[in-house]
Amino acid sequence: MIQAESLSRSYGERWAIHDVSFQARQGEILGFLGPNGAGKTTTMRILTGFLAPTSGRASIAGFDVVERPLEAKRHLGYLPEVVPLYEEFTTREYLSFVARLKRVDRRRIPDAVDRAIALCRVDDVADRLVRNLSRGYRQRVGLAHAVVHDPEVLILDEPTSAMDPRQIVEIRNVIKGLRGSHTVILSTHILPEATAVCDRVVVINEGGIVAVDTYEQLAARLRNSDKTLVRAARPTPDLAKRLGAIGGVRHVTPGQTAGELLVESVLGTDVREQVAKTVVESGAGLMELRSLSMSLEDVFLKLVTHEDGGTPHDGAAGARA
Amino acid sequence: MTGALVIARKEIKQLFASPIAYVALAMFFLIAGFLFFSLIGLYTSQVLQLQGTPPSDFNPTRIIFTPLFQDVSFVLILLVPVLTMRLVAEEDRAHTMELLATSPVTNTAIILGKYLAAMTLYLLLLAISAYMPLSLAVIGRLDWGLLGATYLGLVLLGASFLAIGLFASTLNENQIVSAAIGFSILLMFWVLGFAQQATGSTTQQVLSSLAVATHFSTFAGGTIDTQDVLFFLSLAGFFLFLGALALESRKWR
Repeated sequence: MIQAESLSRSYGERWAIHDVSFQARQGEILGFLGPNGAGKTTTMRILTGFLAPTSGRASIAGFDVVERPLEAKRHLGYLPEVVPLYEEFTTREYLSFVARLKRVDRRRIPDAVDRAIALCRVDDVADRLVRNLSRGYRQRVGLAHAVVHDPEVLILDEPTSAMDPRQIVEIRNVIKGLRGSHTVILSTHILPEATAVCDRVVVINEGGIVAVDTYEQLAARLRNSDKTLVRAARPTPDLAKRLGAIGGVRHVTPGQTAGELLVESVLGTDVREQVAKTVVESGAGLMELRSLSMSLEDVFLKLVTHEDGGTPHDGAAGARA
Repeated sequence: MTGALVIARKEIKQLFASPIAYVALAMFFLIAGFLFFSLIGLYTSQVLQLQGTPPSDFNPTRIIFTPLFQDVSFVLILLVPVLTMRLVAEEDRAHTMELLATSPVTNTAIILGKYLAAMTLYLLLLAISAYMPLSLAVIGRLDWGLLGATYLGLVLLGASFLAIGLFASTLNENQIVSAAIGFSILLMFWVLGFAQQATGSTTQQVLSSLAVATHFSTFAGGTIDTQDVLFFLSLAGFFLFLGALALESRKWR
């Protein structure tokens, strides 16, 4: 549905993005994840035809964005980072104008506007001037303008910025509701958003794609070892040594709190049974045993920071939250 | 074309939702009204001097309206940049250009839509200005042929001025800067007419044939010359083309 083939874009000497390739399949929600300045907006602007790529090709619904821009744009809804609002219009007037601009059939415009208003829950402000709307509402009117012509492809640049937590949840539900019927690309620098909403994630950093996969796959790919957390009531001094002796275990390190031990084992070998047995037999009193999956932040940090060479810290997410 | 009309409709709505249209109209009619008033005074004193025996070529329309509209054409140099400065610059400032540029409309349609809106406001202004000749037509006979030629000249002059102003608006996202650029280009085309003293007869010829004032004065004198019509139309077309080109070039910058 959306295809990017080695897109590059330079501003003078500097490359904003370099050799970016990915595709979004029909009906999926693709997350664009990366820190600010990574090239998310530039990539989106190329896909929407706002910027021309320096090299490479992109297509929307099968239409090349440079060679057949009008057809590509017809199938596209785009919410830019700064919501493009005409302050002197009311919400309804604004959405009607956008519908006309997007070539919605004249007779269907009132219905299309009503549908967008209902979908994005802006009915309270439908007849207020856009000028007087709060930031959260402006953002929602922005989302409404992107969906008013019911496009097959939606490109949303940080759609939940400037919203309060309750609104964020609402908007995420709206976006999730588009899954299947629409192909959505959504950029964010908020990790939980990517996992909460997206089917797959494109991680982008310094103008290049670092990884494209589902979050689970990304996490699995990054892990070079399985980790198990053990909490014992009365850890004996030699417990760590006894756990280390189990086949497949690489290291045993103390955890964050007293009585916690982190057992790191070779990827793919499940050592939980052996660990449990060892702890119980040593009389340490097994309180908790669970395998740790990697937190979002870990994946993110690992993907976008070169310096972070070691394995991610399992405690990072907990400390952050 | 549909795209251009959709944009034109939006622009007109915006123009009249902001004070700028009203300020421009008020400014125009204040100045034009004063000029009209003083020219009537001049005409009255001339009639008194003639003491009821006018020469055969005595033409009140020529005495009042020819200088009036020549002055008005200069007022337009100041007025047009004010009307056009926000057309594209404001879209840039409010980031709404991103909406237009990612919608299924061409850059040409965007420029034409905005141009149509500006032309509509300008034609409205000319229509209202007709109160001046019409009020005199009630009490006397006017030279309608001369007035018709003058108004055609004003329409064409405005068409080219607005295209220049619109082009200036694509160059900068600051409205004031856009107005200043538009004003400079218009003034340049005006002062080209002062090139009579320029050295070299060829240079002088080229420069003065580009001067808008000379072309307009033909209309104001009551002559419709296809050469002048073409001059204004091609000036408008050229700057509209430049405007669309300026929008297109943004993609690649």
